[in-house]
Amino acid sequence: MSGENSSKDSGDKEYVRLVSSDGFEYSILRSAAAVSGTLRGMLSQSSNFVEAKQNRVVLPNISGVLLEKVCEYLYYNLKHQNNPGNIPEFDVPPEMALELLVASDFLDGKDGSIRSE
Amino acid sequence: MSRNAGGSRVRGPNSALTEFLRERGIDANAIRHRYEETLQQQATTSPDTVVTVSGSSATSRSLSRDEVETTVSSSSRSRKRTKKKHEDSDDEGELLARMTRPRPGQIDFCAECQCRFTVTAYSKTARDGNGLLCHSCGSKYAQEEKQQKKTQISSRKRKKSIAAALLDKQEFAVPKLQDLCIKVIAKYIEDVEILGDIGDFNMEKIARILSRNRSLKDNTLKLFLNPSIKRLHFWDCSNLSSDSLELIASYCPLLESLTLSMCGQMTDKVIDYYSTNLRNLHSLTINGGFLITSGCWVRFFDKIGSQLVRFSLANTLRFNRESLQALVRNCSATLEELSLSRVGSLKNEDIPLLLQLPKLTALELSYMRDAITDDDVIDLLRVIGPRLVTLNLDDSGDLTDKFLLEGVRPYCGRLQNLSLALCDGFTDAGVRDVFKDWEFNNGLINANFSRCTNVGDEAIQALIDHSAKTLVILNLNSVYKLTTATFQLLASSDCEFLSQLDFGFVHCVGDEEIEVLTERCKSLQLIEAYGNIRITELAKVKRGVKVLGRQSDSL
Repeated sequence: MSGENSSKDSGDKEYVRLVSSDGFEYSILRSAAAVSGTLRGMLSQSSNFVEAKQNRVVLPNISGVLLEKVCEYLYYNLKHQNNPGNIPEFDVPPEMALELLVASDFLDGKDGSIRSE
Repeated sequence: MSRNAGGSRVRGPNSALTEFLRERGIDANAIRHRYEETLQQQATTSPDTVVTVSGSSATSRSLSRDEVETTVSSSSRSRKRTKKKHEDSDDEGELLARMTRPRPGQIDFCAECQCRFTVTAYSKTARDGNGLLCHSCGSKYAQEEKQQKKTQISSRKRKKSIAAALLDKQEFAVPKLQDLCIKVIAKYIEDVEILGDIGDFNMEKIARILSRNRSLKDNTLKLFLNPSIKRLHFWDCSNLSSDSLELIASYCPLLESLTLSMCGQMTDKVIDYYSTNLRNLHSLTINGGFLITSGCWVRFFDKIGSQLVRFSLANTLRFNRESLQALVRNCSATLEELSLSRVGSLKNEDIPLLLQLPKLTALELSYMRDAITDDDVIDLLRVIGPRLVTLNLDDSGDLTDKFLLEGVRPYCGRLQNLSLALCDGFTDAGVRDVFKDWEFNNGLINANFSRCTNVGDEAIQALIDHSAKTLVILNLNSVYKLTTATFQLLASSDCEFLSQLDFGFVHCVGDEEIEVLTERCKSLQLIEAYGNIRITELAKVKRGVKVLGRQSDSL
């Protein structure tokens, strides 16, 4: 799921790439990225953004460590969103909680209703 | 089995049951004998059992245990049924089963793998109840049992967390990453040096959690103070010293809206400091500031009263006539919302002072039983009633129908929010007459008649007739006299905006009513049904409607 992915662009539309401020690239499922309102907007095929054309999002305000945690959450949400009853805890290390909060605020998109459509 | 067989007088410690049985002359051998006799009688019909009964004592023992244990391990309902039928034989059987179990130290054969093993106190009984298991077979089952228990516990946990989420009026879903982070931050708040630029909304969320955890202290307070902030809300200031409370004004001079709850350590010095430093303050809410003297309030209003738009005070005994005089003297030009709750030092002769606040649109005078009388409030409404949008007179037991008919009905044309909880002076007919053909008013949005115990069907039906098109929140908690007719009317009158409904402790409401209500009221989101024992988990509630307080949720 996470970890550096240095292989060349496979052209697989199922996966999108997230690039951190310090150059780490994470290749994740499109459906996982769509958990985040901001990423979904950027990658939406109907939009004319560079991100949507290249299936690649550069996030200059999120560091690699943080982005890995973000990806972990995106998959965590994707996996459990249909069965929210019995889910394991998601571990947030205290030392990155504040930065993660800022990052998640940015990624979620302001309008909460975007998520639940 | 043969504890007393030798006739020995030496006995070990006994349970109360053994003692009792011995006193009554009930003997294990006799019971066993009787049991085998009945078996023999039954055996006349089936030849299979004849063999076992007449066989070796070991096999007959295992068979009898088999029968007994299956009755024991079957589901409780069927067990009850069998118990009714053969109460005697069942009891005897249980006793027998206990006695026929090999004692620790004996040698037995495993029911599963037939190997020889020494019985211990921890030896497990086989699944079918027939015989014991050796150590290796037993531990195999123990693993499965453990797994079973685990899933049982986790499902119980899940039910609990769903119920807890429901109580917080939240959807049960995958938690948002923001909320997860905020929880962690709140947990480690002692170690945070600076919160940084996380946004006002997140700040407020963290402040709320800290208040709830009672961890808002002098050192954590400073994290929230910065010079540009305009709104601050702290809901639990009980751990904040007066010095820290002063810091709020010195760090945040631009504050416009300030809410401080449970601020028991707040002194005159703090309020004096606020009045000199908070130049932009226009909304102040103080709850539980019981140390602040009336003289201090006078100074406060004289200084910055002319800019106050909202003032809310609760739980103090020192806000008296002089303070109120200072308030009306200084705030008459600006004050739009005034809330005084549990201010025990105000008397009914002080209420007419409020006549001098012509701009009021929201007035709360709650939990001041002695100060509120019909005539005073009617006089007040004659002047300020036409502008009033919100009126809250909770727990004013001295108010009667006269107040409604001569105060509210003729003057309160714009009224949208009316709260009259705990006012038991109103009668059914009185409330009905207020709402009947009340064309002067366009309808209430928020109506609270909780615990108005003398109000009944006619009144609430008149309210529904009048405000069906506008009602959003309706609270009928503990209006005992209501019958199902009212709820049928509510369902059939097409309340398109009604989103919150509380009919806790109204006993007539059951599954059928709640189903119809959720079906017909399209906007309904939240139903509070504490103490409605006729509402069960079987009620088919439309998706998206939360029902709070059902007994079946927490069991």
